[in-house]
Amino acid sequence: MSDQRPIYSTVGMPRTLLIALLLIGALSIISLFLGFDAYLSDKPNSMTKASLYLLLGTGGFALIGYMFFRSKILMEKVEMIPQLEVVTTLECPNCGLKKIRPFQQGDYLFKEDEECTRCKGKMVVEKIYGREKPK
Amino acid sequence: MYQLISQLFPPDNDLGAIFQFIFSLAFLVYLFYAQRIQTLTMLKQVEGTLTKLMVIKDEGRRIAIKTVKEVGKPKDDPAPHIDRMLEEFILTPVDLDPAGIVWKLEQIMNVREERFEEEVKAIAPEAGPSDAHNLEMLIEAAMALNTIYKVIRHFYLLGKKTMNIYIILQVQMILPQIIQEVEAYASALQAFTEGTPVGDGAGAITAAVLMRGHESRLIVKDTVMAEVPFEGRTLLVIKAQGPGGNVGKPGDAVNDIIEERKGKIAQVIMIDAAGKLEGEELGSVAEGVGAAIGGIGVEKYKIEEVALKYKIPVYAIAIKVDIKDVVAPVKEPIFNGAVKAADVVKRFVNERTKEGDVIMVVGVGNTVGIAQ
Repeated sequence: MSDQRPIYSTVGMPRTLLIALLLIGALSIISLFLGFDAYLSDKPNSMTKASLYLLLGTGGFALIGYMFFRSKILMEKVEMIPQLEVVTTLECPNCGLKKIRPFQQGDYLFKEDEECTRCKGKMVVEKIYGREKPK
Repeated sequence: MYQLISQLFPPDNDLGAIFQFIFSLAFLVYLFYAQRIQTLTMLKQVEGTLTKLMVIKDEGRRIAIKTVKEVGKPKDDPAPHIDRMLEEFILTPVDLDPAGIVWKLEQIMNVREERFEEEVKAIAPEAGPSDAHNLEMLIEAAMALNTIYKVIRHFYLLGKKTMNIYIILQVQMILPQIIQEVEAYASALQAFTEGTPVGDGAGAITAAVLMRGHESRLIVKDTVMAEVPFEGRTLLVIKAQGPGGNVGKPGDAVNDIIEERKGKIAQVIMIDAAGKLEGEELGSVAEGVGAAIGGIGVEKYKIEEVALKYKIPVYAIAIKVDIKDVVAPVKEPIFNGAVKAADVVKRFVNERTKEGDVIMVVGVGNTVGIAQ
């Protein structure tokens, strides 16, 4: 339970999204081709047409990039169940020595636990809390 | 718009014609199937969440079975028994005539609680009292995950069958809250397996801090009380009996003690974890008036009734927690908030009571990982 592990399929992105991205990619390539074609042609208004096609093509690729990274971020968010790292703070009532260690099963608040390394007294569980695991 | 796009791709060459055809087709498809596309998109979102829910609820079942086997050491495989428990349900009493419904509800909840305890004892014969309470809570978390999964699956399948956008919309709109709730229960699996204090136990932590070093005794089922002298007053501090997962019977405890003392209680102070609003600080402490206790209302009703009978003021101290922290291992700001609430209690007592008074302090919440 203590490890942060994926619990959801991490295999790529949804199929429909992949198909849509491929379609947009194909159309963008065609658009770029038309743009360069118009740019090199001598027909009137070809520059305006070329700009529009090139804009459409690059826009398509920008959209693909955006969708790809967005879906990746969303999937990363969905994949993990938040798992906290639980720690126990112990304090010696005699000498005030403090110690923080990972939570162990059987720990509870105000439990008399392990021996104090300084005065050999009994350390007491003063605090138990969970904190986000460092990424 | 359509004309503009047509101008953009004049059919003066083959590729232009293909483009124009694609745009015309897309326009027509969108004209007739816009709502259907939207419905399918929403169904896809619900399906994604449902897949996640399925994995989490299966994980809940797996952890419950594994923990029962480890802690309870049953002779037979507990899986079929746990599967049956996961499908259990409660039928609430009829509310056509609401008079007396609280007592009916209490009776149902008591029967359910006793039955649940017996079942856990049957599948985990070797578990001690604290472990048995933790197992109960663990199975309850798995039950909640199972129920949420089934409800969402119902709406998903019904929506898919009817392709009715309004059925799917109902569930799609609340998906973010459902995900938060499911993540909370998923964290509860960790808390109840390991026996760590949870966010809901903030009130119990405050009570434990106040009663520390004083003798406590069992007053009603699963509930303890300690008499704590404080600046010439007496604090009767009540909490559920820990360190096993347990919420006790604070309603019965308050009622019995007030009746026993013939109403000679200056005030009742209740401390509980309360849902924070977005933007509020985690673990912040707020003060108010009224019985601070959640649940189905039976315990709250009893406290309000007895307080009204003897005209005892009831004050509330809330420790703010997020919905996802309620049954997750307690975070440091919540823990610190609970300790700070003990100081607020002392200030309340100093400001609003006089020497010789008896004040009742009730730490409400799940006491897993919190002794007294």
